[in-house]
Amino acid sequence: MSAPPAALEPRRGDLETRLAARGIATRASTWSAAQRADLGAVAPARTCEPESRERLRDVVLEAAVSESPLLVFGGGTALGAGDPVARADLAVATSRLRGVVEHSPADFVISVEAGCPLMELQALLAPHGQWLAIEPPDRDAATIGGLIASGATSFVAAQHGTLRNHLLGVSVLYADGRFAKAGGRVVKNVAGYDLMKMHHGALGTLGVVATATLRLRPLPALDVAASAATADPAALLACADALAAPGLLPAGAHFVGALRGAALEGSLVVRFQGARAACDAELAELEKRLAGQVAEWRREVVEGAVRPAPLRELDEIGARGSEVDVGHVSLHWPPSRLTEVVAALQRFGAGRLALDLARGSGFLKLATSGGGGSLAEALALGLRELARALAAAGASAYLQAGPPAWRAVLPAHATHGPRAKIAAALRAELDPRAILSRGRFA
Amino acid sequence: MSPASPATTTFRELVKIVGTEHVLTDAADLLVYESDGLTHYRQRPRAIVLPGSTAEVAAVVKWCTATGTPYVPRGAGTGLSGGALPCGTGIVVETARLRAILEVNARDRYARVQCGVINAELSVAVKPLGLHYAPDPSSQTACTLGGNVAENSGGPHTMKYGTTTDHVLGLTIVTAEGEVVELGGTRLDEPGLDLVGTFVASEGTFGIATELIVRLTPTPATVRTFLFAFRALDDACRMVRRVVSDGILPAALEMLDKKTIEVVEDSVLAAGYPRDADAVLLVELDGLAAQVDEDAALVRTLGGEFGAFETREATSPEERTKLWKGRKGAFGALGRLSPDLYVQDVVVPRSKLPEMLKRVREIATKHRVLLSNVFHAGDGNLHPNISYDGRDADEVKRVVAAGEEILAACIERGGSLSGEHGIGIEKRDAMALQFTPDDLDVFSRVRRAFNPLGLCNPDKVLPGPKVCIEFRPGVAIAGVTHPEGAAR
Repeated sequence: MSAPPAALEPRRGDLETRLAARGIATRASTWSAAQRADLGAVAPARTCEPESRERLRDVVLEAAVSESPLLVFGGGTALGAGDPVARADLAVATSRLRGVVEHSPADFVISVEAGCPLMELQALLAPHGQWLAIEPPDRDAATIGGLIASGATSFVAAQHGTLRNHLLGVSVLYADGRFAKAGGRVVKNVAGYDLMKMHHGALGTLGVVATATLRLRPLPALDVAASAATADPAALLACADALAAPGLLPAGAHFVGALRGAALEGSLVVRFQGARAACDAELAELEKRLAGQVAEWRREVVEGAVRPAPLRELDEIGARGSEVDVGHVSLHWPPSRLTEVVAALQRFGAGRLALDLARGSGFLKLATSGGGGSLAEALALGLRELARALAAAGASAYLQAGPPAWRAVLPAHATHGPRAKIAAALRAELDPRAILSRGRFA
Repeated sequence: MSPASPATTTFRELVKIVGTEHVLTDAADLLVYESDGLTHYRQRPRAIVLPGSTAEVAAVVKWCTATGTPYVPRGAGTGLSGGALPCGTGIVVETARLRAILEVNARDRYARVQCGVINAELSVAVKPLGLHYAPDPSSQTACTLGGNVAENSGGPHTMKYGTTTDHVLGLTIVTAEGEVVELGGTRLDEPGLDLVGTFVASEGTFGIATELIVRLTPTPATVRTFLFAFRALDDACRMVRRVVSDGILPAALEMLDKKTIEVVEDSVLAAGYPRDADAVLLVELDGLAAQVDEDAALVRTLGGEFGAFETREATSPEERTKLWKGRKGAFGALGRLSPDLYVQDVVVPRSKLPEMLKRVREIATKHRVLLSNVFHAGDGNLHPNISYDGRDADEVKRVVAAGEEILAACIERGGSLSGEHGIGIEKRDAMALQFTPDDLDVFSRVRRAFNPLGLCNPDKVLPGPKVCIEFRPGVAIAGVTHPEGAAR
């Protein structure tokens, strides 16, 4: 075991001054209104953008010795996730750590730096007939590191899983300034503990993922979506059941729409990826199984920027977006409890919905402005009831972003009780001074 | 064992927890537990304890913590890296009594099971529902699902379906403090730390998983299985690479080399593999008929392009079973060659397969060992198997040396020390080949967070001073190794 690069004795001195002494510049933070809303009063006034792994390490080391907590972020699209940051003296952007470390097309493996934007990665892979088989919300801004930290969902998870299933290796900067790796560059590997999973969804609390190695998949020959308008909750259930029966392997299957009181309006959108003949057969089978449930299916190819309207709606509802007065709640249920979940949502009666019918997860997005400032409070009461009804149905809801008062109504994560004790033990070993994302799993 | 024996007195608290008949201390009983599938490491534990519930496991662990007694969790003992090798100063917590399938939910496609359920038994139980449990290690008729969680077991079908970690939704664990904690559950994508994913593959060093919620996978509508026989192993490797780069995702891409083919064909497992082939490649495609048929046509074409001199497709479920029987039983058949079999397990990037196989052959020649290859070609996961006689001290030395060189060669090629057998006791000192001291330090911190006293499965996975394992290389390796049914 090598000694830490610097003695981690607390030293006096302001972090910014100390960084300047090392030639590391900071700049005024440029938080968007939405990011400011998510971070609240703790939004750091200054941001640092290290241009190399070594510089990133220097920043973390200086933060450690001056006991100044950092907020490391990627695309900044999920800053409302987790419990609120308790304190952050400096924001650290991974935006300049965005390079491709190594791409092995023959092995379907690529290593990239954390700040690599997902869409840049996909664009680079497409000419090789490859892709990282995820389609998270907020794709245009999301970075690989941010997607790992936030444990983002994917709209094609029914077929491909989430980023969790594609993460082969990581190089992580820990709070004591040391880089350590786990996993590797091979697709099957049980040497050492699976710290890829530990960091996935950890909101940066246990270390800063600096580099990630990802398994790639061949681009599907065809990517096609079938959508149909519906205002009938029974159609959602029929669709979910139809897809669960043998013979259909959708890439994704969602209901997207809105609640207006007890009325539900929107579309079913089912996606198939694969050989043309297979997709055609599945589309025909889907229509057959749901004959009588929906009036008409509309088939559209999903290709590059061409995105059918229901999928654009899915993108909007699944993402926290740039609105300031917004509430974003994730929903999770065993698929067999869909009826009760939909009934609970109908009783709640407001907001836009994106429900993954194949996996049993989704989002409720609420506008919180208007109503003379009392809307957020009124919604909070409703959310409390909704959370109770969901719990009774074996389902759950978590706050991804929203007014501070909602924190009392909805949890932000499932790391509670005895699990929190394990989380605290991990934290005590890996970041005992809580330098990284302090407070996220309070 | 009589209730009044001295051992019972020593372990009277354990007897109170699990009952006299579930604490084994007789020498004859302990002998069975001296090793797992890696038989050249042996150590006699002080006692075997067989708890009958999660609460009993927790009480046993609390006793261990209170008395400072090391404990080693054990499923069926089929592991091949010594992960269940007992601690000489401690006890073995054996999960054989925890064998209930607690719940099957076909609609939500999960099963809740106790950790001692046998892998294949679950698939058999859910077959009428059109479902199966996807990870299928070769030892699946013997190994337990709890052991699979510890090792993150794979199998031939991981290429498409992933390993154990991709199929575990929730765990009930007994922590090193004896606390019962539920991790994960039946709902997907909940925000928070992924403690299930962190626990899987921890090789029994983070605690004992007593209950599992595992994903059930629909039985594919169509399965087509092909055999391609090649005159040159290299051609088979090139075909593997092409199958993948052409965008086909087979359920399995498995290879056997000439030596293995000969041995399989000489055994009761004879699968009709062409004896004059240098390599046999098994390609299995599954899914919806339209997709499978399109891929099958392409695979057949590639077979011709890369010079397969024989292409055969299983035309019935029986033929399919026969083709697989040779592959899955290869380790058993190899057991016929010599008294002992050392099953190595390494991974290289798929593109490095041909040169790695060449290197493996050179190493075997250099050390004069009898080596054969059976491997998961699609994953780059090799199993170079060395047949040897454990009574021959010189041969054992050469086997160990060849094994070490194979590990080094795989790391040089950007590979990994293990694809599915784990590190256990066997490769813990080799971890320094693949990981830096800082990497290993982080692993040890994470372990300490779960297992602060280090009593849970000590001495495994990470290099360091050995607390309770004494390795005696070259010393009489008792008995004929397991091979049948124990390898993956």
